[in-house]
Amino acid sequence: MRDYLIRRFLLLIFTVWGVSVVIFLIMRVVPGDPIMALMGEGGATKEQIAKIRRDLGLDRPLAVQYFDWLWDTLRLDLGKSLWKGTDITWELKTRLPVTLELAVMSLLLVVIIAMVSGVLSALRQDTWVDYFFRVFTIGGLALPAFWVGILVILALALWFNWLPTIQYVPFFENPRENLIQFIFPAVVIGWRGAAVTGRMVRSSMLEVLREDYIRTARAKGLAERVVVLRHALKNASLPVVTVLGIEATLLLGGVVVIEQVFSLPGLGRALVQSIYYRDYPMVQFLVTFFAVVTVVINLLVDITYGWLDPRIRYE
Amino acid sequence: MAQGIPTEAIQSSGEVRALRKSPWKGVVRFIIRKPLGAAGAGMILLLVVFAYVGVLFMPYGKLEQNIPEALQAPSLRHPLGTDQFGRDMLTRIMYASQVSLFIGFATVLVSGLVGGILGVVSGYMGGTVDLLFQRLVDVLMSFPLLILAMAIVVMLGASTNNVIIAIAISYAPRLARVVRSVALSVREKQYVEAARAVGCPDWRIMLYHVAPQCIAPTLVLVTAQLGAAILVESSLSFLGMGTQEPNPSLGNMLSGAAAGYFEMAPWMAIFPGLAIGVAVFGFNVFGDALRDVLDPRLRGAGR
Repeated sequence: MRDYLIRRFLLLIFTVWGVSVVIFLIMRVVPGDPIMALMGEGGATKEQIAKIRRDLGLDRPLAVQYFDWLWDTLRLDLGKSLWKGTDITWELKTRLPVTLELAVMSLLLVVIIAMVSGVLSALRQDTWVDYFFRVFTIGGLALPAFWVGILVILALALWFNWLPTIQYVPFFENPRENLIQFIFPAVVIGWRGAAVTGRMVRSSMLEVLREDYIRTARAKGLAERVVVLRHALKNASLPVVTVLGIEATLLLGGVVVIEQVFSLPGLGRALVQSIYYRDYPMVQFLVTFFAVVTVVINLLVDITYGWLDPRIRYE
Repeated sequence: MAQGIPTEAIQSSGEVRALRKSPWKGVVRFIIRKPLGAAGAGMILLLVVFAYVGVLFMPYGKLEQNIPEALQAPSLRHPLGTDQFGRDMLTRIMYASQVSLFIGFATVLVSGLVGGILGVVSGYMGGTVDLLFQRLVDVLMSFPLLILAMAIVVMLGASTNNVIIAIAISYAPRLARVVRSVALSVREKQYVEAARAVGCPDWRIMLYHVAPQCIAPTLVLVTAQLGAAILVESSLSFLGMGTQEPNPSLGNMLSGAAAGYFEMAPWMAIFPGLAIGVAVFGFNVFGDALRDVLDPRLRGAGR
């Protein structure tokens, strides 16, 4: 297990390095000069453009630019946003809590809804409970999250005359307002994940419930609750972890879109805005950030395996 | 068929053969065994007819403005209402569905080709090539799909074609991984060994002996991902990174200036999203059924 962890960690470092190279190349080599975009079509003289390029260090060789950026990032000196002129570190510090709260809340919802819906529809297979969650799944997979978000806002506005607060309210200032502000976007983001994971819980539970040891547990007179939760659910949760891991990384994409719909000032909204304004240091940092988070989630999923199922031996 | 093989053996060797024998029998069997999947296929067909044939019957153009009739509720004249410029919503949704369908199919074609080539080469060559390709796939798969697609679109510029390239590049590594595993097993087959023994060059073996074996699973996987591709496309154009106004796409009809009118004219918000939902649902159930029938091994792969 220890060797495996060390190996996985080395691989993680390699992957993160690869990610940084890919992002750097996407941002620099592909046509679409950020300076031209910054100045607008034909708005700047040659001298002005040359000066900006020099100031930003874009006239140096690519390799130098890359290692410079890598070194600065490692020292957590993230540079400044081109568009707003603010420190990217500051942007991260103010925006991360929003995105984190949104992601954690929807992940929690995913787990709760998936467990409840999966177990219930496995126990009540082919009853109306099962069918209800089947429709729920179809909706979660087919309906675009941003549209559901728009409809939720619209419905709240039209029927309850209630508008989500435009201004972001931090949790520690006003927990109630904050939770109200976050619950709707969290549900919208989590729907897809809850649907997919819930289906996985269901099929995995159906399989486990047919096992001999479940019959034994029932035969020796254990309460149904104990059989289902203690004996079946724990063993059924292994494949669920994989799906949950995939859904957790997909959730990040959802966060980016939904922050836009609900006007939450998180990292996703920052990404969309900085793309709009061609603020490439910011885009470069944010894309790297989301990729690194994904890599870490994948590692956590793999480690969770070993913890859930001691039979899995890491070669 | 070789003589002497019991007929039961042939029958039990799967639906693939049944489908190959007679296409119509296969279709009928598919409908009986997978009614939901067949319904999905029907929905896709209807959508294609709706998008491409429907526009021929509409009296309005996709960009035709008619300010006096702006923001009208659904009526006989405008079955799905009008938007803030008095453009007919039904007509625009038809044109937008064309965009979605086209991007979906094109994306899947490009990513199938790129992912297929990467996968076959990686799996067949093995060794250093495989190692390098797989690490590249690892790196590309570490990006959340939507975010990678966004980054690519940003640098290429927002347009329909660039969206296709961006989504295709984001999907290709996921496909390459599955195709590689098929290529790995095909590589060990005797006929490949035979080809190698008679001095067939590697590229020829890959093209004529390995690649054909990978086509079926690739097709299946790619069909299952069509719905997802349409969802990603709609998200991108919703964020302003796809098809640009005034040309309609199901995503951009839900954002930008139009969003300001949703409270007055909810039909402007409801119908484009519903169209996305129908398309994605159709492709999802059809793709799943196709996969179950043709290649159950792929269940859960390549998401």
